[in-house]
Amino acid sequence: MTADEKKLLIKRIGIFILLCFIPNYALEIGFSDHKGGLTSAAASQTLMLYPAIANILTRIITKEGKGEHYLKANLKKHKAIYAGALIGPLIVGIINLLVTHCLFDSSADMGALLRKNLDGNGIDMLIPVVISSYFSAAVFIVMGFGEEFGWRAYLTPKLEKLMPRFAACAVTGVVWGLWHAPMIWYGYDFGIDYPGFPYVGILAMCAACIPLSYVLTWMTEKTRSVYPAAICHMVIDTVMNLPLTAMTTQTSYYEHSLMYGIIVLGGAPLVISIILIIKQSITKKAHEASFRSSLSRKACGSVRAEPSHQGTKRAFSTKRGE
Amino acid sequence: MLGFLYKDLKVCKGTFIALLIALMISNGFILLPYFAGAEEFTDTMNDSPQFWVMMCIFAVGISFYVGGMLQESLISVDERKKWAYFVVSTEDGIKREVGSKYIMMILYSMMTAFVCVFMNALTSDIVGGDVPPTMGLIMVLFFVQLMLRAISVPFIIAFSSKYGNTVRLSIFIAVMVSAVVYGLFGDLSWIDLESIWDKAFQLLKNMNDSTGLIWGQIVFFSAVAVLYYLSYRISCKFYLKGVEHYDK
Repeated sequence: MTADEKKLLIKRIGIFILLCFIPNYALEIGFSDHKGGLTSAAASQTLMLYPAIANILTRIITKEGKGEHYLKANLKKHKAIYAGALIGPLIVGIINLLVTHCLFDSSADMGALLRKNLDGNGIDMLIPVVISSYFSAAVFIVMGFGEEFGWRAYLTPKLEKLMPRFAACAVTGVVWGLWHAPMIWYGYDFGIDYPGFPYVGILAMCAACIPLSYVLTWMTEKTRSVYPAAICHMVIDTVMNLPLTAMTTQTSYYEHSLMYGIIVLGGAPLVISIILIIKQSITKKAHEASFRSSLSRKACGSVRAEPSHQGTKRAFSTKRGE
Repeated sequence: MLGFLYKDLKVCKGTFIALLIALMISNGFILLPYFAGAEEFTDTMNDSPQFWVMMCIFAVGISFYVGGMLQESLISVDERKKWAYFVVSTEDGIKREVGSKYIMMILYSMMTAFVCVFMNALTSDIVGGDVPPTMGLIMVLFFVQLMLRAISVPFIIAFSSKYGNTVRLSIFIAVMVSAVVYGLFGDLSWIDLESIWDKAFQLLKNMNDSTGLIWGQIVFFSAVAVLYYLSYRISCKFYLKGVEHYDK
């Protein structure tokens, strides 16, 4: 990459981040109710769309064109990843519930809580609510697409041209975390009753977004498509926390809101990221070893094959005048 | 497939923008009386909240109706024999051509649903009162719209839009005539006209509170998803038959 290309790339990243942050900060600060929510319902409907709009606008402003857009679905080749994006967050949600229950809420009776929180219906209500939430996630998938089309389909691939994958995901995670900062500042996600409020909350969000960013980037890069990440994001937002909210005591949640937030958002993605990194490094080493052995085999083979080489043979025969 | 979708988006750019504007207008019209007189409007709505329910249901219903009309125009734009035979000559051409139409229709419905939710939120912001929750209604109408397209599109594809619409219209007229005949001579005692809007409001509010209603929605949504896929398969099968009916 030449210096000019690098400069242009950094310029594009800068413009993209600005276009993402300006409307988001303006709306979240302008319409904040200072309790972690927004006074404008319409504004909150649009927040998730700005990264996608920023992607499109940056391409237009910097005359980049379509380039690598990640809009192909590639569903047939990667059905397993799509299924993982759909079901994975629900499984993670159940694991989150068990972990947080053991850590902070072990004295509570989960069955009784479930019945109490769901008007006495318990699991009979939770199952249809989860399934219907999947349907609403499908109908409003445009929201998940809005964020992922910006972060995973634009920012991370651009950063990957400047740095290795993990560093690019880490930077994206930090940018993504800071993008949420105004909401956390006013108590969204982690509440307000934790030490170091709100700075620790913003740091925690950035830290939680790094592994999540890595997992979503892995999905996007593996399928060369933004849709699995968009599906996963939407399922995380609408379905993942349903078991936890139905079976956790409110007092426990408010007392450990920061820890709940960190575990829910970053716990499972961290474990999955570590597994992916280990798996990738093993595969990489195996590839390097096989490449080295094939190189050495070729080198040995060429030394042995030299006398019978066609070119040499032909040269030898021409010399003899045959 | 992406190429076909891109082509559809390019060809129907005008329709897409028209849909967006139409949705804004159809959902925004309920704000007109508010702008005409904010205080009177708020008083009226506080006195009789049924008006609110009626207006919101009407706005969402009109939006999906307009969206549905524009969805069908997606199919007629490609009704040219030369294009159809070219599509058939390519690998998996029919599946891609028909599939792109079905995906575009879903995109239109998604856009309609999103704009309806956004405009409902905007109405709530502007008026500042309790706007009836239409999320459940929007979800149901989204799937009703897909169901209607799943039924009508195979007709349009198999007989071309010209004849397909005639076939569909005749079925629609038959259903309407039956309804009118029932309305005139049948037993209507089970419909309580006085409390119908109160019941509608309660239904909108309790849509996600009753286990039975949620299961009902799930079964309906799943059935529509299966029907939509079957409709796509049928349309693929009858695509070439429909080409014979094209004028150009």
